[in-house]
Amino acid sequence: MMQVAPLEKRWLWIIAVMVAVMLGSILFTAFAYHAHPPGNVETVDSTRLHLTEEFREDNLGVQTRPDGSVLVTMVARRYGFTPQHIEIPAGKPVTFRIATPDVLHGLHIPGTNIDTMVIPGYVSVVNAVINYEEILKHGELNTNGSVTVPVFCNEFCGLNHHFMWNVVTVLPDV
Amino acid sequence: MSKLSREEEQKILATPPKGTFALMLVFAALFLVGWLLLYFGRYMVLGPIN
Repeated sequence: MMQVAPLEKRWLWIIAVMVAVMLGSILFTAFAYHAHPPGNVETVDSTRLHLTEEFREDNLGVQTRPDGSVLVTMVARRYGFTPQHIEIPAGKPVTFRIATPDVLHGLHIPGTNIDTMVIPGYVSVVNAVINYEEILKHGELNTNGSVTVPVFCNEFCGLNHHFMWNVVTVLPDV
Repeated sequence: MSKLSREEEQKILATPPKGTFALMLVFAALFLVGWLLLYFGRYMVLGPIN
């Protein structure tokens, strides 16, 4: 039978407690707050993106649903986001649906956990609730109480990748 | 420094080292507190995503 020194046994117990606390925290937040990595798999024909109903230029932007939640439909392309400026509320569920007609892009909104890859051929979906206090630390406060933050492409997409940005204005909770 | 007797030496060698155990506890506590601070204080505070 394998011999395990008493100190090693104690260390195994310590590790077991650490793993249990970390896994317990992850499971608790997953069930209580639905916090888990986005797992949506939805394909789209990138070459015909501008011809689809959802990603046609006229239909891009912010829509408020009857329940107060918000749907943001965006296109990331070399080298910009469409629409260039969006306004979303803090403290309410926001769903981002983003697709690209060309190459791999990324979407990162500072002060939030919204950080996703936009892969050609797929629709990236991120559901989030924006914390006003946190976004205030990363953005510029406007006179009406809203906060403007820059949005960046965080996947290298070509020579002008560093010019690819957008602006999001977050409205305070009411 | 006092010289240990043969019995005292054997007793020390036979028991698990307390200092190492204390060090392990300190490391584990620091690691766990750091992880919890990052998870709840930096990640979850930004708002859950899915």
